[in-house]
Amino acid sequence: MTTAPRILLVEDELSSAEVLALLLADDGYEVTVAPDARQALLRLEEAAPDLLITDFMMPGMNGALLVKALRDMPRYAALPVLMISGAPESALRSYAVPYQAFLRKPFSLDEFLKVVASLPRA
Amino acid sequence: MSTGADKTSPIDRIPTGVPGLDEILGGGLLRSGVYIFQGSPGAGKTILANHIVHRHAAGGGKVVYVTLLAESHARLFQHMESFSFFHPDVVPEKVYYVSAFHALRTDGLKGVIELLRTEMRSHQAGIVVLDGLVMAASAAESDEELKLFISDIQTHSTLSGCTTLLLTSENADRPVSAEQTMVDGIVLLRERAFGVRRERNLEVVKFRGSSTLRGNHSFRIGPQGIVVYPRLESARRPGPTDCVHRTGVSTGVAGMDAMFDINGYAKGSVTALSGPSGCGKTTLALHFAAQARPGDSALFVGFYEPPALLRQVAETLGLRWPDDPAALEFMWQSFGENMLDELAAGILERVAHGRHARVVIDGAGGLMATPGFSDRGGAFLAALTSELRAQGTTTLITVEQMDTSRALVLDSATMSALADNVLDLHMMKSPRMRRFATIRKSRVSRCDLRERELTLTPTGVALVEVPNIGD
Repeated sequence: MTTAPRILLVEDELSSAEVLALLLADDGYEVTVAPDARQALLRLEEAAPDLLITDFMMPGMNGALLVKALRDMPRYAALPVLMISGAPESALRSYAVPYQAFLRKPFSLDEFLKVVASLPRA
Repeated sequence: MSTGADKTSPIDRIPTGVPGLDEILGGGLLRSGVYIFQGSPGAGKTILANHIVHRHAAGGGKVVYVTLLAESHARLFQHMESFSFFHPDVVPEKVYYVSAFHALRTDGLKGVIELLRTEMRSHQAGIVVLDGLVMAASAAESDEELKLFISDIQTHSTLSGCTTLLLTSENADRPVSAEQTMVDGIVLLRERAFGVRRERNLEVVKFRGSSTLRGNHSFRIGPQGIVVYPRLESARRPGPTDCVHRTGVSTGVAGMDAMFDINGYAKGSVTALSGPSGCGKTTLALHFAAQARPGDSALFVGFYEPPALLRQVAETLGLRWPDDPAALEFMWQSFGENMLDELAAGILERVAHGRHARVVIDGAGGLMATPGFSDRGGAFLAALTSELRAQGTTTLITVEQMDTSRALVLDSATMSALADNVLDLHMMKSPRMRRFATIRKSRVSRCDLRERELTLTPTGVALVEVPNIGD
């Protein structure tokens, strides 16, 4: 029996986080939500994600620095990442962080689900 | 013995970069100050704050923009992208948008303070915006707690050298609140109704450490963002000194120059052409404008006939209409849908930019129909004519005398007080329609006070003597 793919969703805008989490749950994913990078790192063990979806601009550590921190952890070095942001993708270049997909907000929910479905699983 | 340490150095200013606003603020916001920008939803606070922060970023500064509201940053960007001040490539390096909603929900006002503190520091922000102070006020359990919140913000702002803008959607005219007593400055944004028309304005009601231009100042939101027009009467400008010369500037009307001992209107003077509709005011104004040449150029400000029609009329009269756009510039405004200070700013900027020696305002009625004129009337015109004199222009304003059944908003006595020369025009039917002109007043020159009749010649209007009754 296959288990539902597990997603760690990191988003500081609570209303957006709730909507995306419900959408993903409806599509069969098991979702853990963290409001910022610090909380995401604390909940890694519990979330055991197959995929990370993270906002870029967040209080404290931003999404790019979160991904960098995860890449330094052997267990999560190859974790697929979908980066979402209101800023253009060019803003991420200076961080030189590998991620698998980027979506600029606002995006359609259909497009969001398609991109999530297309990503590999850890 | 004084060590010099007794002297306090002036506080640095942070220019807002918003056209007109820094003039009102006396040069900009004060570094480390905490300011409330208050106005009902739709007043323009978020646009104003984003305009300020993006101008700050364009100048090399860094900003943290913290939201406590439900509007997502994505939606905010969508709205801001339509303005030319918004540059997405400064996000997030120079303008970092972050939500404090979670911090408020889980840790209350203390959580928001902690977020502001860490973001100010980590981004080395010169400006922090907190958009949604009303949410913080709702979360405060008492006025005391809210005051402590503001006090903490002030402490962090002072220590970090960061200027903080607090946006609140409270109505601008609500009674003084706890947070207002704490901050360094308050800017109120309102929309004022004039019948069916609306005009946006802002007022600086509090500003510690500096004088500001008092009262309401209108502003407009357009593709470039916000443009503020300081109220002309309050704006600090040097007063006119030696601006009216006893040098004649040709009226362009044969026979009229000779009515003045200096052979024309005094250079730098303001002349009012007053008379009922159809008496020839615009005709005489066209003669004055038609004298324009490069180096003696003119600005024609109109509210009625568009430029093409004016040119047609001028050519029908036989006038040599300047072809060179450097000689004659038009500023045509639709009747009634203007802002007084925007009009004044437009006129003065064009005069300065084009170095125009002549200005025609056809006519005062276009200014009088503008919202707010009834409150400001004479004071506004006095300020405008003073500015035009200071720029050395020779100005002609047409003023329509209304019939006695309607109230005069700008009476001839006021016009006479503002203008250096007043020419009265009137008409008489005997048996055909005849038009006459008299100089009622000439401040700087001696003049011939006898009535003249306007006659049409192949090259325009001429003034001829009127035979005495006894002749």
